[in-house]
Amino acid sequence: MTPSSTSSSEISAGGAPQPPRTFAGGFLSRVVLFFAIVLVISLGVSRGAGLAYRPRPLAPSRDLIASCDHFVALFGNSQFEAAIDSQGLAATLEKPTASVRAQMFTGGGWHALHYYMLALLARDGLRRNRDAVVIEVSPTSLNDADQRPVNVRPEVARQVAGVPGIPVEMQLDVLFGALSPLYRYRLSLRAAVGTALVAPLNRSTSVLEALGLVGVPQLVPQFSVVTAPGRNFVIQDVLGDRSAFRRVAREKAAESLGRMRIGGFKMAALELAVRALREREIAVVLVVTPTAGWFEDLVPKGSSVVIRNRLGQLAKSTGATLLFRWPDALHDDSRFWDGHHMLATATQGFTDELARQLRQVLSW
Amino acid sequence: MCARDPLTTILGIPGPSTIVATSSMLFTSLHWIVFLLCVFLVFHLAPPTWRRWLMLAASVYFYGSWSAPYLLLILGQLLVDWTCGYLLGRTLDSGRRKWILATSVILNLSALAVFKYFGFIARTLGFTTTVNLTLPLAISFYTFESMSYTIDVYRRRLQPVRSPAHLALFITWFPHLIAGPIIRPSELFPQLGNISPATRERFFGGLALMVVGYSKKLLGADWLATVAEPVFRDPSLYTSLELLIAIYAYAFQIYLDFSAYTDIARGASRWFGVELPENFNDPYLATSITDFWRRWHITLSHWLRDYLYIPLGGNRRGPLRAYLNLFVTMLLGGLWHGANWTFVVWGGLHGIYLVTERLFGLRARDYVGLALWARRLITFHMVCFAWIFFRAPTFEAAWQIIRGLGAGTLHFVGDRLFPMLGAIALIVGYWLGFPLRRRILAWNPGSSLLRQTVCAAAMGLFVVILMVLGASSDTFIYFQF
Repeated sequence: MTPSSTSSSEISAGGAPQPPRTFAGGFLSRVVLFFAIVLVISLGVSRGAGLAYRPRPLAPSRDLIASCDHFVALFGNSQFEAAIDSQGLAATLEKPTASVRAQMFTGGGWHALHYYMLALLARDGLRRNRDAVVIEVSPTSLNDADQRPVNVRPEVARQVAGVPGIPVEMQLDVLFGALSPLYRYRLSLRAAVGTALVAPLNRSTSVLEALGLVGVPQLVPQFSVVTAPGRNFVIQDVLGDRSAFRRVAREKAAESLGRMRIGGFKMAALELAVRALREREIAVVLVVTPTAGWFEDLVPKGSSVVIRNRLGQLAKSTGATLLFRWPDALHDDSRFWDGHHMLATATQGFTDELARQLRQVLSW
Repeated sequence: MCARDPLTTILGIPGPSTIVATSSMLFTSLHWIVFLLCVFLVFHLAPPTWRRWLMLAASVYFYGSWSAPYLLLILGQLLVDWTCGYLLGRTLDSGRRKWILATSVILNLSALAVFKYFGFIARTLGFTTTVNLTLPLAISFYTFESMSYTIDVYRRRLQPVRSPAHLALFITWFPHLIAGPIIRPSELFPQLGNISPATRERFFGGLALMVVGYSKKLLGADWLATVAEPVFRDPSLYTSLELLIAIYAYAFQIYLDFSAYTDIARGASRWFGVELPENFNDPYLATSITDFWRRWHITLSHWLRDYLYIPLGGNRRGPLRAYLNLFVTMLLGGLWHGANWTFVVWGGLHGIYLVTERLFGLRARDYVGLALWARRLITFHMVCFAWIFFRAPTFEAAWQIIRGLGAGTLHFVGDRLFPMLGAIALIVGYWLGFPLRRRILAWNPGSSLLRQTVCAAAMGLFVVILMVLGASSDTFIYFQF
């Protein structure tokens, strides 16, 4: 090692003669121009290409709403999707004098920021005092400790990015996504390209198969989850060792719920969602779906109390309704795949009970 | 290749293929890009006397975005080392100097022991503890740098700095703060004492480094992770061939990931007129493990040599003692990476490799032709074998992989064929991309406005490619150390 010749005086003075620099004001303006070109090209290309992608609708169309007397929009995550048969719910709510339609809007979104976006997208279409929004509120959807990407639609991106307490990175992600559809839908686009590639690639494997390079597994996974066709977040079946599946699900849930943090931007987003709808006098019902007893026990006691209190206050201050009391039978562990996602056979029972309680609170 | 775990998706728990948008400033985050561009512009518009303060403020903000409370820990360690340096500069008494140095070393290592190794030590000693401290980001890196300042002052290789702010900037300089390169005070102080705006060459040179870094991370390392991670999570499900490919995938993942961080750090730092040292030199072209450590994490190797191996006696006390010193250095180097015995074994394996090479005189580097490539291949596989222990979460998993490799099942299982072939294609693509990388690093559009415009347009398209094809991970591997 060479002994340093640095002295404190040299460091603090900072006045050593400087060699001539070419990075003067002129070049700085070139740098600004450089980044402006980078931005224009990248956003231009990504905007042009991204607009070709047609995402699924996340709000009921005006035609759909107009086709019935009452419309019920259901916003929720995978738990909700598994728990409710929306057509069955509509049929139960229907009266001879009034037709009802219900539709689930999930889009893979699972947290309150997503619900806020759904509320903003839907509020102008829904009719005051005629339609209703049912929002699923679960500890998972309000857990501030877990964050995921959000595919926010450009028309409401500014409002979503403005939720108090939202992390800077997510804020920038939302705003940049609004400018660049290619970026916003990158995961969906990649999945679409991947799916399209699988078939031709599979055809090309015959050579490898002939060489004996493709075989059957010697050890199969303990279990594998099969999702319902077209519903990537609804479990249709669990193949293999179901007890192993339940054990892993329990471990994952314990890990996620164990580091639960309530009260950040997700709670703020939920409050904004409810207020946005209530200001238009659209009925709002907050639903805490039933889960198995052991699953409820995984939620830290303090968090459960905070959630219940905050939701109670929110409902009271906005005129929304909070539904969380269900018959004990609906909490039975045998009704769930993993303590919180309902079996298809359990859906009807919950849908009926939800419809019964909704009839009591909706003034139709 | 982006295989999603349906269970993970359904349970709403972030998995390897999901993006975790956190408040922290990853080099791959938009927050970082905006931050870097803002600091860059303000730096070049600011009066010269403000620039160092601006760099310090930016560094504080950068670390604060990860964890504001742990800024106090850095501040504490900084004040300890600045005070020790100050006292060392005022005394010639060798006994007192030793005490001052010991105070600095003990306090620094205590911080490391408490925050990084407390749980590990308790587990090893058989205690059960409910204390679960969050590991302060970059503690291993900045503790080593902070200690090297006091040690260099003690060794009279460096004059103590007058202002704690200068020491603070040396330690917290944001491009290198989180995962190195580990800089010596003698490398950075002269540069920090003469901060000047970037030249055009530095600007484009830094940009080229960042382009290479982002390609390595988003187009290479993160995709390889999607292949390697599930295999290391449950190796019992994979055939020998798949295990082998997963180990190769991990070897390249960790290299691309870590060298990407270094490239981005060096590129960003260059924009502020501060050159950071090289940390990698094509390590998988090494012809021996000794050569490997001259090419892999070079700044850590040098640190360990100068502040651990040589103080232990180096090779001055005979060959046996030199072997022991080498082995202990590697063992502790392994432990530096993480509070787990698997890291110690990884370090120990490299210690054994190095001692064996010295013992049998296998360190020669003048191979040519086939012998050269045979040596490279052997060295690469020795390194890969050690990576198994580095990556495996437990010894059981590591043994499972080793046993699986020996099972001789040389086929792919159905749906795993394409991800595995994809990993091979990426590794081959990396080698084929060598000349392109060299050209990018050497390229400079000069002063021509037209060439600069073409360069900007190419950058714009590169950003689009990253947007679409860039895989997503929530961190860089070396952030955990």
